[in-house]
Amino acid sequence: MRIALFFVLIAAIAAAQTSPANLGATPGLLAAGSIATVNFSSPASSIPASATVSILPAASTTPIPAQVLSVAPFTITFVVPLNTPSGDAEVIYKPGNQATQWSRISIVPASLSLFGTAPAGPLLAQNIQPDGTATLNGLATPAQPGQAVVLWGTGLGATPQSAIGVTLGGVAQTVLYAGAAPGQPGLNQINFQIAPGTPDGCYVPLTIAYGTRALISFLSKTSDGLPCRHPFDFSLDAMKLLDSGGSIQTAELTLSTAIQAPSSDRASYAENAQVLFPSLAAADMAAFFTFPNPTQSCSTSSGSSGTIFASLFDPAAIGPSTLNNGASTLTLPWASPPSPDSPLSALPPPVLAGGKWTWTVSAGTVFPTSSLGFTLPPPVQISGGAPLTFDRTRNQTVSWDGSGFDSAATARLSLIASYPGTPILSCTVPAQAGTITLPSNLLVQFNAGAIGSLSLSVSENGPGLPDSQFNASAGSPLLMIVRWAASDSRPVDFK
Amino acid sequence: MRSCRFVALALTVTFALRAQVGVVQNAALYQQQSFLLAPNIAYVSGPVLTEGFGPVSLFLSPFAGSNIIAPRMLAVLSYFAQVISVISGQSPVTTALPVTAALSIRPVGSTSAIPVTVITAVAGAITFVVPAGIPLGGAELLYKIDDQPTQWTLVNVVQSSFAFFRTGLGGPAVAQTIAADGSLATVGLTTPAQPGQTLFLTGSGLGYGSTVTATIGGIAAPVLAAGPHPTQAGHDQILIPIPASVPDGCYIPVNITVNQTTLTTTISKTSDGSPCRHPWQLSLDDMKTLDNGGSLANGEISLTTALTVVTSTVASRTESAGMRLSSIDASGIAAYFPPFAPAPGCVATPSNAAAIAVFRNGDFSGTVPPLPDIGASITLQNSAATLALPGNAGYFSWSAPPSTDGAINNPATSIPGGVWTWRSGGGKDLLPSSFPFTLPSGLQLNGGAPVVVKRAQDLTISWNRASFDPAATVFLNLGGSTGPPVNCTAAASAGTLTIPAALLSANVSNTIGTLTVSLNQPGSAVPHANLKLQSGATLLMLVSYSGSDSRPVLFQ
Repeated sequence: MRIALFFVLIAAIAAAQTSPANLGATPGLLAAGSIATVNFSSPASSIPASATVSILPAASTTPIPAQVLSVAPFTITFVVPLNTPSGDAEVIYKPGNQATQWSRISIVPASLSLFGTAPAGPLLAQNIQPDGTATLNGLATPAQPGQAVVLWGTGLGATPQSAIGVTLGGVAQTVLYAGAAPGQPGLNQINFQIAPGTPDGCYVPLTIAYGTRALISFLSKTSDGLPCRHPFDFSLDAMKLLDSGGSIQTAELTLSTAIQAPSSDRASYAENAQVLFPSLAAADMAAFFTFPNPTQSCSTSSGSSGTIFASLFDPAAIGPSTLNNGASTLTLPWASPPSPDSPLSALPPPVLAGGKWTWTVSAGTVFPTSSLGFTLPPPVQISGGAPLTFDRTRNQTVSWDGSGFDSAATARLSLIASYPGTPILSCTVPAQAGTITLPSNLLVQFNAGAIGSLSLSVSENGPGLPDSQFNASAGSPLLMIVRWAASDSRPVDFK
Repeated sequence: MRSCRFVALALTVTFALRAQVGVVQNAALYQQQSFLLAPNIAYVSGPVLTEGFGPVSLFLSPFAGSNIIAPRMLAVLSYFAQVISVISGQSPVTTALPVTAALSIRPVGSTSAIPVTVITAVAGAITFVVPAGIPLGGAELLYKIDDQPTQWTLVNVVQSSFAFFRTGLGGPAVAQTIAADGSLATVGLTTPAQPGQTLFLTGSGLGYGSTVTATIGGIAAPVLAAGPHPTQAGHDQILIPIPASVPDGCYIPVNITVNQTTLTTTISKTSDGSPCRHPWQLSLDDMKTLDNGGSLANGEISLTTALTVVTSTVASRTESAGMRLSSIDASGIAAYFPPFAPAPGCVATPSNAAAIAVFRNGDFSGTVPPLPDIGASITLQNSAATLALPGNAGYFSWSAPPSTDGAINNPATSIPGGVWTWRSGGGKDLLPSSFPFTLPSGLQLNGGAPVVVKRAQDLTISWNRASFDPAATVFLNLGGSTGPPVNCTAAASAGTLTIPAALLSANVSNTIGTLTVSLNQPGSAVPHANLKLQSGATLLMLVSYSGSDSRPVLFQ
């Protein structure tokens, strides 16, 4: 089944021009036959109207001309010739009458990217009705069984259809066509039919396997084609707003409770609570629900340098906001006052204690008085004292009381040492598990006799986020979300 | 929106790692970074605090190579703190309030912490002395500030981690001389060291049992003493009699090797102690100004011409010309005369050329005088063309025409070698003025593109060598997608350098890399002029020239 819907192609190309990340890094790894972009600096007085591009493979003296699709002030979009051999190559480009430039690239047989509304956002996928009409897949317009779905992308190269597999919600789908889009250089389309038994959802995991590689994303799918039931209980209008590229004003309450334990007899809490006001688009909403399910996994990576960031909080944009749990009323933003050192075994309860809380936002210029009740889990506390002592040659277990967390909460452990070049050991596990085992084959990468720092952090994921919706004064929806994180950090002696 | 999510996540991470945010470093190094408020040696006796992060959080990795301490070292613990900005005159002055601080260090594997002596404590920075008997290896530094809960950061204790107290970031070490009669004098351009005197250098981090050797002006100099200052905790001193054979100069290199680590600085030295002859012909008054921590008005002209070769038939140049009015102090000028000459040869390690460039611009805020008014524009003229550089807020720039393709051996250039003239029509602070200077020809490699590199053979690179200053050097960087980058240094006048095959063999055949060769001129070769402002003050004009050639490489 080959479907060529040119208005979709136009949309895809438009997305390509505004979302070059969907086309693969440039310069960098490019698939033969794919659409690619090269970015260049251009004097303001000289905006090129045309460009030439060619690819010079290593060890070749003859550049292969590439088809230029479009030229923007600082970007040339072109098609990597399908007959470009794999390996290093130079991309030689000349914007207008400006000087010729070059950049190093690596050509691979295939490196698939799918066109989407944002780099990690919903795909520009199309549901095909039996009568041939098409609608863009979205929260309000999911795919349904029996329908064909068309995905648009680039970078399949010469991958045969037989080497392409699609699963949706873990269910294998029937691939109807995968390959070049007719008449559109560099563009690929993958058509598949929604299989019976495919689960419903707004963010059903999608996997495209091609050759030995795979790409993951998500689609909206329901049994009857009616709008999906959004995990944030969005109205149909809200979902249409997101589908059309709009954003939803969000009030995000961020709570943090951190144990600092330099030693067993000197521990304390540091806590804070604040409200952020992001405007969330479809891609941002999807990010709450499209992470892999946490199963215990550990890995190490090399260190990185510092990062500087600034708070975006603007207290003048809202009315007063408070938190209340019956025992305490906190005016936001709030940070815990200095607390005295206490023994780890007898830490007084934190202010942001587990239990029922109510978040109230007074009427402001944006939205009316609103409140949200939610239940905060207890803070996480590592069992045992400080410092921790790890024998690098044996598996080490870190444990905590996981009984207060729901199934969506994730625990993340980070272990680093103090010396330059230290590995960073990171683990993820469901917080309910209450334990993480650090394998000796990773611990042995740390130096004996070194000192390090371990941090265990628990946070809630999309399905478990307390949320509610209200209407702002202008009539648009207001999404209120509570995000919390609890952590415990301690020194570690490596034996 | 995405940034909001990032901020939220980052805040979480910050809290999770909050116990590790304290950064510890040698107090001598800390003072370099605090130079904004420490423009002269009067501040050296104690740390001067400048940095505060306010609402912006700074997350520093504890494993980025910091937090190195040595026994007895004077160290500074930096941590997040609110600081207070006081408006004094027209310039905000950042200050920090005194705090109480209790510190201790627990060596790895120990159950008890060793108390630490705190020298000074203000919000954001605690200066302390590392305990003398602390064992080497990892350790936990615990600190309690005022009534805050105890926090900690990780440190590494090494035998020695020496640093000079310097006059500023990138500037020379604070140096004094001890005369035969025991009198102490500060070494400066107008007060050089002389034979028969003993050079007295200060710093911190010698540790215990360290081997210290020295050279002055390339001549081995016996170290009379190297060890703790008799009264100032954490301070070290090194005494070196000045050999008679040390040459004269304003920037004589001094190398101090502590165990396996060599630190470099420069001193002024003359045979009779009279002021040195400055390579830029600075007057005695100007040198006194610099010695006293003052600055000279400065105009730095920057000219670049970068050749990009795409193929053996297509090349182009990217060029720029600009001038910035600023001021320059003793450290900034000294940075033009680094104590080390780049050793010729090649290494397969990251380039340090950028680090050298960092110190080229030596002016520091806090001591910047008002910019002189020299007119609305300047020109740069040679026999063929005049480049107009209109000015804005002290910066003058030339709008280069778009680069165009040309032949590889003669691409069009607007900044050819030869005699040029800088000219100003004058302004409120400067009468109409001009001065000539000479630029070298553009650097250009011999051969075509791509450069074919046979991995099993030595690779010889050659270039045009005409008109380069005898002291000029070229830096070569060869980067491939598979092998480590290769960096080489050679005298520009040599016109050739050879990369050993051993440094090339790690690259995979049929891969592509980039070769870039750039020209660097030492301070002695920097074209300069000392113009006089209407006030009588000096306007020091410097011409910074950069030429490079970059082209693709094919590894075979």
